Amino acid sequence: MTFAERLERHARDRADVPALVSARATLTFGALVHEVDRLARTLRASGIDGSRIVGVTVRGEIDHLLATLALLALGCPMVALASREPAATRARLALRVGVALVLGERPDDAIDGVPFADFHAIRANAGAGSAVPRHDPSRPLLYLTGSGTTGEPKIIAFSERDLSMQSDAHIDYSRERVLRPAHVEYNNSKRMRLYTLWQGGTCILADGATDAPTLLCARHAVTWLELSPMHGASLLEATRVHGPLPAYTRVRIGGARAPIALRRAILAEVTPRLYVSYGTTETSFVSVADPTMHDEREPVGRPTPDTEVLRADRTRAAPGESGTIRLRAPGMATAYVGDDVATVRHFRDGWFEPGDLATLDVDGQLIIHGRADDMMIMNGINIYPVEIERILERHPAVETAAAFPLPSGVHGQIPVAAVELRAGMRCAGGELVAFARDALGVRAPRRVEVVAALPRNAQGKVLKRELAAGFARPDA
Amino acid sequence: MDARTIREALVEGLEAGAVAKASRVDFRGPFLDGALDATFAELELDSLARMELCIAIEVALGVSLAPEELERYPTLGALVADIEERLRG
Repeated sequence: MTFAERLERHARDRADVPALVSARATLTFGALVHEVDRLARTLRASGIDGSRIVGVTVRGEIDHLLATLALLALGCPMVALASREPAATRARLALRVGVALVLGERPDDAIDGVPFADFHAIRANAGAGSAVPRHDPSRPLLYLTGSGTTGEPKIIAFSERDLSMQSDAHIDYSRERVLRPAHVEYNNSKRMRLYTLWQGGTCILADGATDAPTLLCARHAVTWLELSPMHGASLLEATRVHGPLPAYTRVRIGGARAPIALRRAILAEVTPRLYVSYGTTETSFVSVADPTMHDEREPVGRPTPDTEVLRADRTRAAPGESGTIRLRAPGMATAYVGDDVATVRHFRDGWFEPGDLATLDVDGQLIIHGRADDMMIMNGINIYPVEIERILERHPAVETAAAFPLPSGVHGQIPVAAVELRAGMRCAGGELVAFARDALGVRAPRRVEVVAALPRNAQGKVLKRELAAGFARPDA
Repeated sequence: MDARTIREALVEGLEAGAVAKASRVDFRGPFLDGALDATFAELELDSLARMELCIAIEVALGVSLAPEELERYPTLGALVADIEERLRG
């Protein structure tokens, strides 16, 4: 079934259920199908069909989703060229994916040497053109980029069939009102909105509104609020300033490690209905920890049997033993676009190997220890940055810790850390070294530096390379 | 870098390796002041303590030293002098 066919079914079965809701507009499934069809016909009349890959630079959340759904209806492959990225980054991604037309809003959305179509001019004409022919739902249409923290972002392509299978394996949103404040131009935000629509649920869109998430949840009766850990920390602040979330709103945190201190603070101050999930761009949803499961191990829930932890010799790790994780999931990616080396490395025997270290504990809980590439080896001892970070963050003065290695010709890698303290707290690095040594022994950081602010990227991820580079050698 | 900073790094490394003598008041203060020395035999370093001492020296002072190299120094004072020498050179 294609997306268009699925939306038509919702338009028949639940025509008056809101599909897209923002402060400016509400589109029911009935209205959405009508709008998507009008836009698809006009795009087709403008020469946009399934024959070439379209780069989409459209800022409004509803507009962006309409463009996405209309291109899906046309069987037209697409990639978001996010407006917030620099022009050179957009141009590079367009080249790698093979974009043959940019659908944009402003002259500077155009990319040299690639034809440009004005989204709003086409939208103003919507309704022109003839009916859209059917297409094969197994053709890759949605190009997404993975994380770019290690070199160039990897590119994957999903068909509508893949997306529908991922959607069916995901949390059931069919009766939910889902708010994910991260913008639709972010890949996983777009994909989550597509899952919600596929299932017949309602996407609540912040759409540039800067209101606190607590206010948006109350205004739009949000039943699921989906956040990154960084947004989770902002939610605490929003609750203190604007009051609590509605009692029916559940909070799900995913996309990065959710420290136990953050989980406890949200449980105590925001809502008892806290969920923490683990997934990858390549496989989508893997597991979710429900409100009863949060403890010091920072578990991410009990995954499906298609989640395995392997030892270095590729045999299955015993419960409680750590190793590298491999995953299988319906509709998962099976390759990276234009990157055979990464494909061979990460896709093996029908499994995806993200390069994360994990433990499946005796109670079936999955615990993620971070990326295998981040593991430090000091004199043959394996040390995970996250185990150091978890311990340092138990110290009452520490807000956030980042552990990383100092390269050593003798010992391999010596673990060290930088920390941000809680507001108004003071603590010397030496005290934190001693505190960590009590808990970690030989795996403790040998130096802890207190910094005013850890360097972070736009998504709030700590930039450890920058930290390591700035960790002055004392003899300098 | 002065000798006292080097001595402080050594004491820290010995404490990290759980060397009992390093924390004793009759050793710590006089050693930091340069008024007292100790042989490695007296300190009774096991292999873990040797590793910790070398790591502490590397992290605090930027001087790389393998645990087995410690055999070359009769006393802590000799090690301090050699580190001072390396840092000057």
